[in-house]
Amino acid sequence: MVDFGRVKKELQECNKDFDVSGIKVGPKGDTNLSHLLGTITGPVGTPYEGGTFKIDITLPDGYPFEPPKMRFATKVWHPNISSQSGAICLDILKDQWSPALTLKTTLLSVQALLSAPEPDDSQDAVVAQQYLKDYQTFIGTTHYWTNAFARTNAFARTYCVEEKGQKLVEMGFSEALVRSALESVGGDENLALEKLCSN
Amino acid sequence: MKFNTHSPKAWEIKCVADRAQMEEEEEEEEFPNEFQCCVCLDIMYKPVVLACGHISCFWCTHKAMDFYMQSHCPVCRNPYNHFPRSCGLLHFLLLKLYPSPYNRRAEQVAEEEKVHGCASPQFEGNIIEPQLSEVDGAQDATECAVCKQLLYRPVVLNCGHVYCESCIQPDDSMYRCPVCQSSHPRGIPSVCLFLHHFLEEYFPEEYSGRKESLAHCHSHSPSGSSAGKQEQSAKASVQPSGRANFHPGVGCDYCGILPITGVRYKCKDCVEKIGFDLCESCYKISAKLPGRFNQQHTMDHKFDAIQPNHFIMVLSSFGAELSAEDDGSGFGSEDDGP
Repeated sequence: MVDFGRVKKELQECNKDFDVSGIKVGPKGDTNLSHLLGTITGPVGTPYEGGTFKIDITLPDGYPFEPPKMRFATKVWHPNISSQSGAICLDILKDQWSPALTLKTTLLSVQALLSAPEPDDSQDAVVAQQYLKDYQTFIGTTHYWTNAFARTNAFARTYCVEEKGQKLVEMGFSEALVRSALESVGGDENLALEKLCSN
Repeated sequence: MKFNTHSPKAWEIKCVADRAQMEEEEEEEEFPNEFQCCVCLDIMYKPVVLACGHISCFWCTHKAMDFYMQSHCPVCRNPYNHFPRSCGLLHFLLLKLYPSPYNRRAEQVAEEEKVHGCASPQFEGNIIEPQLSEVDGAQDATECAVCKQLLYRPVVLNCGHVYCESCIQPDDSMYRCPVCQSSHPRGIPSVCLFLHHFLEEYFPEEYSGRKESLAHCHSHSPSGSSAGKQEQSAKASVQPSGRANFHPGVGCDYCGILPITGVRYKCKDCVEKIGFDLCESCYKISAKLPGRFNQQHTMDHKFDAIQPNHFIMVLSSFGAELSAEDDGSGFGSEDDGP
């Protein structure tokens, strides 16, 4: 049975200094405390900077005597994180787990992993190969993935607007109109088209 | 009508009760961070001090132990094989300083123990001498049983008794508790920094006085080098209990080693679910010590000698995680007679 008393305390403690740490944990969906969603920010000075990464957390029955199961829900390009499944290769999530670690300290370690990849103990062989053989391309790809998948609100919306807006612009509407229409309906392409036509 | 006349009053009463409860809850939560167990994040209950000087609750320590291999301190990963006894001094200290959160925890744990059918050590008996609840000042309890002075740089032995670091001397390269005579595995433990800071804060004058007087005595024999040596010998004596011949999940109720290697002596007469087991060396000394889990074991109980079962071991080494999950109770609870 998961020690929910401890989990509640952890959540309180972790969300207290969100401004400083940039780390947030909350229940995923309903009130079930064994499925959580963590958020970390990409470390400054790395190609992950500016990204906000969501991490899917499942607490096993033995928590905190067994490590939490963590997986990136945001796509990320990193030698120790699967680009397909988001699986994380980190010792403290496996045999080096200690019950004195918390969700916050674990997420901090995951954040530190982003700034210090270990290509020799890789989770994603393709990424690791690229990291070792063509570092510049690796940096480029990582930047691209961070911008494409891990940018929050404003950035993500402009990205979406650009992609979706392209079709509407091709239909003959002006770019400014398309942008404002898309933003007013929250990025839904069909609603934006309706709005544009009704004007 | 009746409802209308009665409800405001009832509501008022409820409000007062709620407020009282809220105040109580707020009051309950007041204990400083350093008194928090690193595992359950609540106030430490029946604290156990490991050889590295780090503390956690009795059950937290037990649950965090490895039933198959050497265990590691949750804080510093210092390896250890023996489950220490709860520290009575810390228990009464916490009870005296923060009675309301401590008693709340006591009730919680008692409930959990009832559900799981197990028990933790009881302190009412004569096992632990310094009972803070009975003395007015805390100072009598914080006295070292050897030098009869305020504890200085306290170390907690495997039996849960506390002494000054300088008062513990090896007897034939073995450390033995001067009060209960039980042997302390490995070298001298590290100073319990939690207690050290506590004493420094509560008895600033006496503590610094002790520091000065000891500095005089030991000015010619630097303690640093001897401590280093002891640490080395301690490291050498840690025996990684290999996969050779051990009893998964079964610990010795006297010395606390977990898992027991070699022959295991299982009590035939103890009725507790958790059982009562001894390792070979503790069985031979036939000491009179209480069990780790408050078992009602007496000297006239009979033992069964059980050899390690290789088949079970092979199975358990594969399904280690599985069986650890379904059986959190530990010591001697895996009933696997050949």
